[in-house]
Amino acid sequence: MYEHLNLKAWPFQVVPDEEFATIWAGRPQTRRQLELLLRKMQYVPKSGLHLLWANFGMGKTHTLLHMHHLCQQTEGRLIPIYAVMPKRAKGFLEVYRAIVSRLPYDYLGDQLVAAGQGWSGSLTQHPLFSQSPGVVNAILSMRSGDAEKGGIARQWLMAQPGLTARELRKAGITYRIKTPEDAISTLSALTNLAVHNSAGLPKKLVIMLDEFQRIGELRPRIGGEINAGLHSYFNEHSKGLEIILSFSFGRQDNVSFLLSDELKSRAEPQRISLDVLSKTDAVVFIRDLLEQFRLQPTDQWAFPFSEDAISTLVDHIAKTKQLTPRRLMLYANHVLLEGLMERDSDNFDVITSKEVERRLSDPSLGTLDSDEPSE
Amino acid sequence: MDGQESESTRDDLEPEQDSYAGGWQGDRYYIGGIHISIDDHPDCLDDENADCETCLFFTPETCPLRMFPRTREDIKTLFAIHREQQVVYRRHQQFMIDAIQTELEAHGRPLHYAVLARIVRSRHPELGVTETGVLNLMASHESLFVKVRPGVYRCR
Repeated sequence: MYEHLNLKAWPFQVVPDEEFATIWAGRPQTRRQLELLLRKMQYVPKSGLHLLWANFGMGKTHTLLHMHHLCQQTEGRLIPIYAVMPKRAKGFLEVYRAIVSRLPYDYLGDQLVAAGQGWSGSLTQHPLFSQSPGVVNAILSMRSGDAEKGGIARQWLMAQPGLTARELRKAGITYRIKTPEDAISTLSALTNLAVHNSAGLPKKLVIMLDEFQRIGELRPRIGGEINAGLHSYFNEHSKGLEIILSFSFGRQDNVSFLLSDELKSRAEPQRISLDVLSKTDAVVFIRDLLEQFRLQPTDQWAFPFSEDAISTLVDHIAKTKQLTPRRLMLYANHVLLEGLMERDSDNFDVITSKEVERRLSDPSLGTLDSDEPSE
Repeated sequence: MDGQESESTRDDLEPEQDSYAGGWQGDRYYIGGIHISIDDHPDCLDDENADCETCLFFTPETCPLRMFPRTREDIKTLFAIHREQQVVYRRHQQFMIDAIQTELEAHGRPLHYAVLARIVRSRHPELGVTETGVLNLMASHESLFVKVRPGVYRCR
């Protein structure tokens, strides 16, 4: 569709999604940091707690989704979960729900079958599930093909209220998940199952909890409960678990005010940081981005823009705003689309510096685009 | 008759000592049956040459400030100290507001007052902020801070 632009797909996207997250542009140092982290996670069995801080619009979610994509390339050694910290959480149970709702239940079902093959007794007696034997029947119910049983089991796992004792019996479950302690036990049993290693290959569950800065808006009691819940859960798994907490706000060192001392003392000393781009970073970002969408290798790295046009675009943004990947893509998208609408697709003239100036000359352009985060 | 009455009143108030028993009640001073304060007091406490005839507080004949110059001086001193304290207090309040605003602005996202108090306390220990102090300051300065939810504020 974009052959005349020598692009296999539209390169500018401002909302993170899993498909676009396979792309990594610019920030070579962060890319190296992510690759190194991925290797470390696979190299040592010990669990790890990692902190990722990003300034506004710097691609925090994209980074996590890219990490998710990289984990998926490890042939099952790393099992990634991307979850978002709930807005206005009322306790650890909601964080638990956010995580548990993203678990790969088909995979867990397969793991359960594998665990059962090497176990002679009832699976509920298996040491993997000692903390929460109900997990076994819940996953079996979800796997049974019976929609009602599966629904009940899912509702139970999500700790959603409203299940009657009769319904629970139907799914073979005898208790409810009501307290943070119940949630930690269930999450631990699910984690044990996810990383259970029947074939000899060490596995790790990688939980990425995005928007963890929301804990700073919660009452201290609730924030404390969530911190304590994560700490207890992490302590339950000396091996096989990686937790990545992401934060987005203006001052990196505020991270320490949102975490309990216990979590801080367990966090890996090296943080992943995504700060504002310099002009050079911004040009490299666009170059890398376009390169990854190329149909054919080309000497004109900036095409369908001229190199000067990219510099003009970057300078224009830098004059009034911070350079962020999102903003670069937003403006480049605007200029390219406007240019396309005026051109003949058979004969595409390169977008020049002058054209960029003309298309960005409207002073009202981007007035709504601020560095304020959305709530 | 009038003269006698005023004479006897003056006699009643004639000092055996050179000071008059008054007292502070909150931020006001109670003297001669009325309250005076830093913001509302006889002109003579600010100006030595004030005209007693135009005084809205006391009649010249029974004025305790006039009869007890030492008490008047004491009150002036106390008012001066109080004024100084007010200046210090206001300056301190302003420092706290500035610190809260700076930290909240730099953070760029809404924060619960307890978390914000922790940040301000850690970076500006000399201000001695408390959680309730931070909350009260933000709640009382709507032109600077926006209440997002109960206890959660962002910069305007």
